[in-house]
Amino acid sequence: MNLSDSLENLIEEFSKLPSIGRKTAQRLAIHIIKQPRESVARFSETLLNVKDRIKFCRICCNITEQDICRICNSKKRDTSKICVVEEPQDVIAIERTNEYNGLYHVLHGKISPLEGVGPDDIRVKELIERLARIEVNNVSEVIFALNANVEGETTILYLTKLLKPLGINTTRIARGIPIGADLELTDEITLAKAIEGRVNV
Amino acid sequence: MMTPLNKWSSSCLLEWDDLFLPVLILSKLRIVNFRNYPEQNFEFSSRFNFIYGDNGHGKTNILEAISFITFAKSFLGSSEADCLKYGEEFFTIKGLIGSETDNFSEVLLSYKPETRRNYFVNNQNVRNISTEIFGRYPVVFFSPHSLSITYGSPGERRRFFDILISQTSPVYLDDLRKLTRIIRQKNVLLKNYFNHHSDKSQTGGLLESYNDKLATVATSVIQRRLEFLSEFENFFKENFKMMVPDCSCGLISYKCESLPDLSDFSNADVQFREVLNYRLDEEIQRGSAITGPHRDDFDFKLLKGGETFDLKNHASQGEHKTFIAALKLAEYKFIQAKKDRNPIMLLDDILSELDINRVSNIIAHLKDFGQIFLTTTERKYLDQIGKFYSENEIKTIRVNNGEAKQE
Repeated sequence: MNLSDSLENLIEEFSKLPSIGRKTAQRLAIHIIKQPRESVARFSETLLNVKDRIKFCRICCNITEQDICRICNSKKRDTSKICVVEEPQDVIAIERTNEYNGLYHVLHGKISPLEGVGPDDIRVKELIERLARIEVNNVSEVIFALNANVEGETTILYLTKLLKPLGINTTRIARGIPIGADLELTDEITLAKAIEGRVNV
Repeated sequence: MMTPLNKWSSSCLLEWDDLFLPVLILSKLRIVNFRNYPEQNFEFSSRFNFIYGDNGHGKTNILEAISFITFAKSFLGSSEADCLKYGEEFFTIKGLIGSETDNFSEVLLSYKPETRRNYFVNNQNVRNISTEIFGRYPVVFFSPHSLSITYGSPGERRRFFDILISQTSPVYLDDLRKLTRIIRQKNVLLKNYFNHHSDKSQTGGLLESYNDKLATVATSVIQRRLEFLSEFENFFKENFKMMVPDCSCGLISYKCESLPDLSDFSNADVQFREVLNYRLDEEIQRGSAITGPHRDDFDFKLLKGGETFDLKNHASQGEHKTFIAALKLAEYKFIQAKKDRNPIMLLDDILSELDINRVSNIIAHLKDFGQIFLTTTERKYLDQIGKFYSENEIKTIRVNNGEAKQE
């Protein structure tokens, strides 16, 4: 039943968000109604602020409030390595390891013809131009850290072909059993891939 | 990367002592609002369950419910929505499955049109049904529908073998899923290329990448099918001989159009890639990926009096049935050897298709098997079964209009 048009509109907006269904959207909308006015004003302001201030780094396409993001701007980073990821949250994940000191490139998606996403719909052109630019031609390795599904793997194959003429070494992150996980609880496919990719000790 | 370990090592061909294998048993079943059953409880024998009743009263539905909780799918290929009792809002199937050696698990499948299906093992929600359930409770189905394996299109044969291999190899199942995904993506690219929807050089580059990926996955699928077949063949021939003791023999071979040489896989992906290049123009013309294991076939032949015959075009109905029966028995023995346990066998209305000699032959053979569920319209077969099973090993269930009674 439609109680109010404005409430209905809000539910509609919420349910457009990823992983929010109709019922959750309804719960969120009712929650908003119960909040004091100032808190709702702060919320909507924060939303607009994010949209107005956030832009994409001119070099790596990661999200930033400046022209060039903190990582690209840093003098401490190893500029000979570029790690290619699908989304900004993947950068956050790799940064949390504190083990990678190179630069990034955020594709903002992966190639998937079924969903109508081609190379022009993600930041492929930016990556190629960046690698071809003279001032960063000390890049010696491009590391692909994309998700291990058909689309991720094909995107890697496609990009590797494009990068070949530039003579840059390309690598892909390893896959296998999570550290600390029980072997018996690991799913068969991961385990089989781990056996296939075994290393000498 | 190192060479993959051989999945089908020859050690699996050892003679198994059936008596010591744990037998998978479905001991109890409860179905609610499933097909024509409002609510029904069953207690089964660990040996032979004889389900009889007139046509259209719900014998097969019991087997279908069993297939849903063991296999996560209907063995008839129906969807969950098809199985919801008319006018009801949900159905549930609950079973107690286990073997003598390990604890019994409570398996529950509930279906509602809004929330789709939910699968629980011991009250734990199973998230990835296809990887966690597939192959966990092995079952073998045999029904008149199985005849489509020999009579039907290549797709029916691929389906039969794909399900069989997947039940014993999760990696094969994963490869198959990747293959399907790659083919779907590639079909879009081929159509785009043909219709000039997009930049040709870019689409061409993407097509190349998808073909590279296809070459790896496709050759892996083909190689696993061949490895499987070389092992399965022995099970099949043995069972075929048992059914037809005279000199005729059944043959299965893999028909592959995308690889010229199936004896050497050292650079199969390179060869496969060449075939893809060669067929590229044709694929673009047709707007469809026509090269790969998704187009291959399994060839069935009969060897009679020194000559080989194509089963599809030259065999009699009886020969078809024998071939299928041997395939199914071999499927059972193969899973048994691979999984170290006896699968559950679901036999749906197969006796009416056979003459009494063959019925006797089959039942005599079934005695070595684990738990069996058999449906039939004729109560008379019970006498035949009584010759091989003791009275307390047989449970007789009479089905009448959505209601089952134990006799």
